[in-house]
Amino acid sequence: MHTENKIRNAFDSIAAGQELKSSTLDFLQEARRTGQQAPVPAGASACRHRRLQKSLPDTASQGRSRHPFSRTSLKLSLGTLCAMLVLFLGIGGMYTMLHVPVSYVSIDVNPSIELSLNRLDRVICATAYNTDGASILEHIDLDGKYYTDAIDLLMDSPAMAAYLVENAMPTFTIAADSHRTEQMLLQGVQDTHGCSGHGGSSYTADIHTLEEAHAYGLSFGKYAAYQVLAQYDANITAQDCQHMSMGEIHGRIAEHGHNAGHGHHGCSH
Amino acid sequence: MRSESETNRVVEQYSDIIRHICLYHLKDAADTEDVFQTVFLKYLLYDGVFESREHEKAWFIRVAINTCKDHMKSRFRHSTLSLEELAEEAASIPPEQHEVLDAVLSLPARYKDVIYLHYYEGYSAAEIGRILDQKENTVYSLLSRGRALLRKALGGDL
Repeated sequence: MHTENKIRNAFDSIAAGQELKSSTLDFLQEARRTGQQAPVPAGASACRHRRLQKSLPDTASQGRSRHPFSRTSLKLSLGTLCAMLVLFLGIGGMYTMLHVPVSYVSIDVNPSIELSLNRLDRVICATAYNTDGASILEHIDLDGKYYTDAIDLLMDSPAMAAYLVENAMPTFTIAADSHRTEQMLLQGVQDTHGCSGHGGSSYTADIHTLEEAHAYGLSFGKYAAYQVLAQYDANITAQDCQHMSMGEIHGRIAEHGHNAGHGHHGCSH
Repeated sequence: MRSESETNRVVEQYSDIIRHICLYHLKDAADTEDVFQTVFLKYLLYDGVFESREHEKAWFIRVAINTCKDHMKSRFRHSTLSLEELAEEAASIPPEQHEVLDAVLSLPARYKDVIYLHYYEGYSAAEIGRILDQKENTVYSLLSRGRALLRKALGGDL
């Protein structure tokens, strides 16, 4: 039998199962609907592009309700309203899929930067948590980049080079809404040149700590390191850590004979 | 955004091709499900016009291959994958097909796409070049080397 036939017969024995097709169709159906969004951690919508985040998340707009229909719209026919609602929900669903963050990577050297990723693991928001981070983001556009490409771009940038001195200890912390995604992102981060090429360390963190970290004006990566240090140093505060580089925090933790916390991983070389 | 009838049609029409591409690129069923959802979501959001069904099919192949590569880039790097690693899949495959599939799956990654697209989908080197954005001569070289590796693994009239 010729190769062509052998290969054709072999692949003919593999087909997409009905279950796979059904789950895909269900997923697409979900994508059309706004009401059923991907899980969104509290405070996630406070993401601000390339702006220095110094204070508590703005909660002023939360809970503000607006009546969806004005008096004028009530004059429209019920059919028109339904059509508009369906269109609105459809657009909203797609917007949610592409623009709502579902996982995060915190990159801390002295600059502290958080990348918010959408369901396709692309950067939808880069937020600086100190002035050094803000000055770096002034020069780099990470929007829409695949997260590993964004990390390489950031870490290999001339602006970041000034901070990657001896004992800089660049730290990458991942938080996601599922263990599986978290591990997938962790592996991806470890394989980047941005991590392995600069002697970085990688960690995972509980996604629910984001809001608390941001309330202190810290990235969640630096906040996780602070929490470890606080176990051994009762006098340390989150405000103290705001002004410390990751190298300094790691150094303080090491003085107590520990590494920076749970889920520590190196980076591949 | 594409209509429900459009997505139903393409899921029915292209699922097997995407399943095949996932088979030789990915690690497990969960990865396949992720890639399926991503590929069809991209279709749902794609507002370009397809000139023909062939154009549409080529788009799906290209997107599926790129999505698999992106997916593997962020997961474990596997240069080869044996059928034994796909225990669930292997159970449903007739034993006589194992040897051939194993030989294709064991090829270095750069040969798999061209071998599959040429031998299974029947594309010419020029067409494969357009789909994969590679030069026709490169595709010929990959086909030739891939064929030699298959001959070594399977023997017979390649």
